[in-house]
Formats: sequence, structure tokens, C-alpha cells
Amino acid sequence: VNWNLLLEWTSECGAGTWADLRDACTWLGSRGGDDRSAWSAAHRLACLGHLELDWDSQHWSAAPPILTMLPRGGGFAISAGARTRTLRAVLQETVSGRDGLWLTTVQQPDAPEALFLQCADEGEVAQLATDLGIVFDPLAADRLSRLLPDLAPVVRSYPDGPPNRGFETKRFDATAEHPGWVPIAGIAAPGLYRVEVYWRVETWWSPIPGRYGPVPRAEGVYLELRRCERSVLRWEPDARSGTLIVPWFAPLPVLHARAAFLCSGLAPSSGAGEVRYVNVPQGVARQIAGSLGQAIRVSDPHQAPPERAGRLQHISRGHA
Amino acid sequence: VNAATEAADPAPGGGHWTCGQWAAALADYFFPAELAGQPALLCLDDEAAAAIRGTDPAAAVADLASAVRSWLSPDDTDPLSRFYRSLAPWRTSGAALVPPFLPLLALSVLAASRMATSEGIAPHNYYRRLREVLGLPQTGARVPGYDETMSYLWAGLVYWLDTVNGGRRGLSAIDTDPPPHIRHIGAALSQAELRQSDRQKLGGFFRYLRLAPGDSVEGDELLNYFRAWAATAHLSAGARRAAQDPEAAIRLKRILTADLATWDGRERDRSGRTVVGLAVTLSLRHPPSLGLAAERPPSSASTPEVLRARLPTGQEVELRPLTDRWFEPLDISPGDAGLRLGLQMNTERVAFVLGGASCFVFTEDEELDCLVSVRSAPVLRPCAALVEAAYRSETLRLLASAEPGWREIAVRGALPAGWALFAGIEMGALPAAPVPPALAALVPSAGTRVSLENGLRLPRGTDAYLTGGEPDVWMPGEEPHAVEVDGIAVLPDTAGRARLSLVGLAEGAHTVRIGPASRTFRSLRSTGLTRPSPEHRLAMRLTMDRARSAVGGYVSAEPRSLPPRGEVWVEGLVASGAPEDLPSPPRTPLRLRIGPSEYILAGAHPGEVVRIPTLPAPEWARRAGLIWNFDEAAPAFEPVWIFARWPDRWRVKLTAGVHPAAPMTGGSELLAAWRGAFTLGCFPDDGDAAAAELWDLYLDAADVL
Repeated sequence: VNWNLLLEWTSECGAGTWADLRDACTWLGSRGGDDRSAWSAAHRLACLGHLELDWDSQHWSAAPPILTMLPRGGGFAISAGARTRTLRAVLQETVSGRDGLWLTTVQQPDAPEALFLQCADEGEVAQLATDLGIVFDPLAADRLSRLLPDLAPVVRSYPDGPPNRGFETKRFDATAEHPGWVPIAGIAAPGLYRVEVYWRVETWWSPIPGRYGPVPRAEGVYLELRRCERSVLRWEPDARSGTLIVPWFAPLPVLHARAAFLCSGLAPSSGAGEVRYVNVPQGVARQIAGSLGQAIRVSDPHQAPPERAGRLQHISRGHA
Repeated sequence: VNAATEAADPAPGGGHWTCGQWAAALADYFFPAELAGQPALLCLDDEAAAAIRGTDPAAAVADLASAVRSWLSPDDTDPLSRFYRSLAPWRTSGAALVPPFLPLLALSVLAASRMATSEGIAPHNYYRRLREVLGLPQTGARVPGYDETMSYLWAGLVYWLDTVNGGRRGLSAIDTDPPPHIRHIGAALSQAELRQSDRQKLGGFFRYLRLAPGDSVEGDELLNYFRAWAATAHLSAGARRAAQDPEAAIRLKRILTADLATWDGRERDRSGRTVVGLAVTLSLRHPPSLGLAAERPPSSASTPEVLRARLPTGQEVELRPLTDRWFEPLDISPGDAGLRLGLQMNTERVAFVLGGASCFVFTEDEELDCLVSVRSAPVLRPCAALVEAAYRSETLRLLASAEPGWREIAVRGALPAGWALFAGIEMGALPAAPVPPALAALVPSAGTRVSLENGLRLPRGTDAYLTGGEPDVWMPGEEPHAVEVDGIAVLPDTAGRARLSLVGLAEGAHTVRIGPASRTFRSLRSTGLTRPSPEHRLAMRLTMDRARSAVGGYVSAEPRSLPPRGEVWVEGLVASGAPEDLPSPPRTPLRLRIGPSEYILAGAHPGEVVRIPTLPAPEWARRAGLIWNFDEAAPAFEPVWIFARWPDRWRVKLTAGVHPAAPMTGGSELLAAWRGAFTLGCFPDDGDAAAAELWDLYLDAADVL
């Protein structure tokens, strides 16, 4: 997928239908021989905060551009949200005329290029946002992580099963050693189900027999993990912050993914059945896990740096 | 005989029509007021004669010939002289009435339309047909007096249409200056090129080009496509011949463009019935099942909302509107024969037609909530295919070039025997090997028109694209063509697709040209600092409660109003809401430049101290190529002094002009550490009087400790 062109197009269009976005994703992807589906490309842009997608109305809308600082981010801010070519050019031109700001572009293999602004004083970034007429949030990662909602599915009674019965159905086996989707004949027992309705996949969650609710797939997986009392999220500390490790079979819901992404401004990396979000403070990781009903597992608690202020006190106690 | 008087007489219910009656009927049929300003043809053929006379074609033609013969003088050296003589009084009377010679001209057109294609267009071929229809003996090469008389009569008709009526009954499309080898028969040929039945089929031609009523296409472009389409369309021999005849080009272009201008979006059959599609529906619910759904004819006051159509079996079905496009699905499942041979059901005015095929391609239709058969596979969009089992292996070969992910669905008993079902197909590039005609529907086709597909279209009209996202051009037809964009040749790929986005076009207007056909589009570099209009903005609504928050779904945001109390809206990474509903912002951290090996931060209260060793840049930042110039600290107190350990010495800098305050209680180690910072042997920079003054106060406080 030509991610930069895809982001430019969504930003320049501003809004549109899912059909338009799907066609654009497919067309851009088809040129590189990448078999990434249009759905996952669009979902990725949503997780990186570039656009909003409403599957009910089948519409999308470009997200407002924003400048925000990274937590424990070395004075780095990122430019995120919509990014028209005009905005990009104005940003570059404005930054080049200021001494206290530096713009760095980072190419990413599976996401649009990331734009980092480095500053000694975040007031410079705030002023830049004002000059560009866009939003400045001193620490959107912190704000968003503290807004993360509880999982709250809406289920109702379907005595004969949900309306899409009859299509190819799979059930999420959350208790297996390697959780995943397994074919199943019908939807009866409580659980999470994935139904292929033509080329759409609908996900239904049933907490008790006879009651079902359509859920986004990511939320559904965590609902089922919570129902089965299984925690899968890990946090691996490093000297400053840490890495949030998410299993491949349980990707973060959109809002949670945005909170994790905002810690580094970089798209998560994937490999070995895991998705890794870097530079995630433990506090943010716990907010994400808590809202998903997960007890986060710290890979090596002895290396875990305490929260930002506490770490400094601890060091001061140790050395002073 | 006074032709005008004859024409005014009512036609008798039976018996023969007079020449005058035929003249009036022909004029009403071929030159109605509806053709005002449009090319009009006196294109009489057997079907048209039957429609005019209300009898079977043979009887109608015989009656017309009889009427014309009543004006002939077979034994005369000029058998057409009576027609010739009718011209002068008709013109001198103002030519207000229908031309009395119209029946003769019509018969001459009929003769032209009957010329055997194997014998070609030649006068001897034509005169033989004309003698036949006129009932004249087959003697001599020509019809005596024909050449002189007919040129005057055709000129008379041109005069009547264009001058007397001013085009109000149509404009003449008569070739009055044909090439020498067909000089005397050219006018008749020009009217026989497209029969009435051919023109009725032009609706199908326009639909084939995916045109819509109101579309405008240049004559050259239309003719180019017409030539390709006519080869396989069931047109008259004359129409097929005219399509390839350079001398007919101008007339055909006029007719095609004029008919497109007045086209109502319908396709009509030989009987004049509106032809609409009968689609096969496919449900993939287990077990998969087939059905039929009828399209609704283009809106017309004459079409009742609910129709009753009759199947060939005599069964009647009721068609109730479901949406603007579809009637409710029929409770009929097509069998093997229906699929292979096709199905048709008719009302008086509408023919619902399913063309038989060995391969049906389906795409999802949201209105019918199932899969519906379409003309051809879409480009890079999912589809399914139902294929006669005889073509299964060839289908598998063809699908090898499809995008990965397609599969064959094993079906037992639910579908007609002898058919195979494939789903999840996305067709992109085509195989180099020829595709069997039976599987042509699996080949994405943009019709035969120059087609701009895909690309990154911008909401600035229908022809605007983002630079770098210019559309693909699909080649018309199956013949190889050269594509030019702004005069630059672009090579198509094996699928017949030229990718303009790879050309590197600059911002502006561009013209794509394939032979005589052309399309234009614009490319824009940017639309500015775009924001979606308020009605298109989406936000995730979070309903806040005292304990936590909950996702409430999506809403269209109203930018002029803040979210109501108790709600927070998230658009991308931006959260908005009442201050009480938003989390309080964190304290701004202190940024410390990388360079010193460690920092000590000291606050106003003795005991407020932290020691911060400098760490190397984090791995993730190094990998991203970010140069780590600063580190961060967010102590629980307000730092007043920053001590930095450089290789040669410690340096200190004032960050807040705060006087020393009372020591913190407890923590003697912290008090000692705070005191130790002021005994490192460093001093504020010279020249900073405020810092020097405060420094002395802090030294005093340290001494007290």
C-alpha cells in the first residue's frame, strides 16, 4: 500500500463513503502487489488517528490535524491526524524559519511517514499549532489513555440466534493455548462469533445463551477474554518507559491503539505473533489494560521504572 | 390525382390504402413532431411497414407497393413520370401538405435495405430489388427515368423537412451528394443504413457504453464504438455495412449523437418494448440458493408501479417495486436450462430479459441484500461466479491470475446440477492466455468506451483526481490500441489497462486519447487546508459517568457546539468536551539537554532534590533515526536550580526565581543531598545578578543545614 498517498487522499477528500475508501485502498495496494486487505489498511489509518470510520453508516471522515508532545519523548512532538499536502508544505516552511524547532520525517514500512518536531520548549510547538490553525495537545497520549472507556456491549435477545445465522461461522476460542477462530456449526453457547456475510465479516458476542450483540471485532475479543478471565497483554519495561506487547490475535480497539501509538508517534511493529507499541509508560499501559478488563503482566518487574515522578525520587534517594 | 386530397381522407378499415394515405401515414411515422431538431430517416423496412399499416410485414409492403404501382405507367418510357409531375404543383402550393411522392421514396429505401450483402452495394443490385418491389419487369439495367426523377423527389423531401417545416418534423439526413458510383441510389441508401429496428437497438448500444440519459459524447467517438459494437449486435445487414462504410460516417455520427441526445435511458426490442434486465440472485447462506430479480424500467408515467408479466410457460408473476432500481425478488429459481439458454418474461410494454450464459458473475447488492448477477466482473472488487461444470478447469486456470483468496464452494443439491460456484474472487490483471468466450464475464470490462477507472478521485466534480492518483485507462474493445495522454504514449499492461498515475503528470487538465475517442480529467495537487464539512465530520462519543466512561457510538459532530455536559467527543486524536469532563492536563515536564553525564534538580525547600543520570537515546528512537537531544524530568516539586555535570566541571542554572523556604520534614538523606548540591563548587554564570543574589541566599540555607 502506498500509505503516504492514501493519507494524502483521505486528508484532501475530508470525508467519504466506505466504498470509496475501500476502492482507494485496493487500488493503491494493488500497485505494490501487497495483499493487505482494504479493511485492514483503513483500520490502520483509524488506529493511527488519521481518520474516523463509522461502520454503521459506512462513512469515514478525516481527523483534525494535531500537534502533541510524546510522553518521555525527548522533547519530540508529532504531527498527526489529517495531513493535506498544503498543510505539510506550510508546516515544513514554517518550521524551517524557526530556530527552536526541527522537523524530522521517519519513513515507516506499514504506515504513512511520521512527522516529528523536536523542541526545547513545547511552547514553540503550541505557537506553531496556533499559527497553522490546528490543535495542540500537550500530551494527548495521557489524555486519551485516561478517557478510555470500559467495554460495554449492547446485547439483546435473539431467541433463534442473531439475524445472520446460516452463513459461515467461526467461534473465538479464548481458552486455547493459542487463542483463535475455529469453524463452528451454529451460534448457541455464550462466546464470540465471526460470521462471513458475503465479503463482510460480522462479529457477535453472546454473554449468556439467547442474548447477542454486534461488536467491533477487537472489542469482542477482549470481551471474550474477560469473560474467560484470561489476560494476554504484557508490558516490558526499559530504562525510560516500556513496550506494550499485544498478541496478534487480540489487536487493540481503535481508541486504545491510538493511546498506545501516541506514546511514540510510530506505528506498532509486528512479528512473532505480537504487536509491539514502544515508549509506552507503565501508567498508560495500565490504563489501556484496565479499560479492556485485562490484568497487565510486567515482563520483568525488577527492571520496571516507577512512574515518572516516583522514578526521580527513587533515584534521588539512592544517590543523594 | 390530388395527393393532398387523398391524404386528408380517412383510411378505410380494410382494402388498400391509396398513395395519399400512405404518404400521410409515412410522414406521421417517420417525421413526428417528437423528432424536432433531430435527424430524421425515412428508414422503411418490413417491420416499419407492418407497424404503419397494422398488418403483417408482407401484406403491408404489398399494400404500399400496390399504392405506388397505381401511380406508375409501366408501359411508358418514364414509368415514374406521374410522381415527377406531382412535384411542381405541390411546391407551387407552398408544399404545406405531406409530399405526395413519399411512398415512392419509401419503397426505394425498402429496395436499398433488401440489397443482398453478398452482392455488395451496386446499382445493378439495387435496381433489381427496386423492380421487385415496384412489380416492374426485370428488363434493362436501370428503371427508366429513375435517375432524373428520384433526385428531384429526394430534394423535394429535403426542402419539405428543412425549409418548409424548419426541422419541426426532424431534420433531413438524406445524402444529396453521394459519390459518383452510387450517385443515383445514394439518397435511398442513406436512409436504409439504419432501419427503425436498428435505431431501437441504439438504446442497448448506449447502455453497453454505460452512458446515461443526458450524457454527451462526440460523434467520432460514438461512431468508433458503434463500429465495434455493430459487429456483434443483431443489426440489419445495412446497418452493419454502413458501420464500416467511410461514406456513411457523417450521417451515422449525426444519427448517433442525435439519438443519444434524445435517449430516455431505455433499451428496446424489435417490438418496441422496453428491455430491462432480469438478474440472477445468489444467496450464500447455507445452503446457497439461486433466484431471480427484475430491474425496474427507467421511470415513466406510462409504467404502472405494479406490473404483471407473463413467462413463456404462461405463468403470470406480479412485480412489486422494492427500490428505485429493483422489483421485489421473484419466487422463481432458474434451472440449468434457464441459466444456459436465458429467460424472458413480458408485459405489454416491457420485456424482462436474462441472457443465457455459461458463466454468471455476481456482486453484492445492498438493496436486495444478496449477490446479483452483473455483466462482467468488477475490477479488484469481490465477486462470485457460477460456472457451467464443463468450464470448471478453464475457470480454475483463469482464477490463477485473480487476487489470492478466492475459493470454490462445494454445493450439494442447492444449485442446478452441472454448475460450479466460486466466491471471493477479485480480478485484477488478466492472464496472457486467451480467455474462453464462455468465461468472458469473469474478465473485468469497462465496456467499449474509453473508460477512466479507479484512481484517487477528489470531491471536486466528477473528473478531478489527486496528482499521483490519476485514473487507470481501460482500452476499448479487444483490439490493441495506443493510448496517449497529453500527446505522450502510454503502454497498457496485459489487462489492457494504462496507469496514468505512473506517468508523472503535473497538476492541471489532461486529455486521454485513444484513436478518435478522447476523455478529459483534471488533476489537483491539493485542495488546501481541508476540513470536512460539519455534516460529514465524525466523532466517537464517550458518555462520561462518575466512575468511568463508555463508548456511545458515532455521531456527526457539530463544530459550532461543544459536546453536551457529560460527553466527550474524540475525533482522531483530539478530545473535546466541557473542562469538567476532560482529564486535567499533566504538568509540563522539564527538558534537559543531552550532554552532561548527570543532572541534579533542587527545589526551594531543602530536601527537594533529584539526581538524574543521563541515559543513552532509547532504542526505538535510534532505529527511527531520531536524534535524541533532550531528556525529560517531572519532579514532584518545582525545580529552582539545575546542576549539570559536564566533563570538566559542574555548572548551575537558575530556572525559577524562588527564595529558599523551610526544609522538608524527615528524610535526612534528602536534606544532605540538597545541601550537597550547593557545595559542588559551581556558581551561576557571571552577569546574572538575580541568580547571584538568590545563590547567596541558598548557600546560607545550606549552611544552616
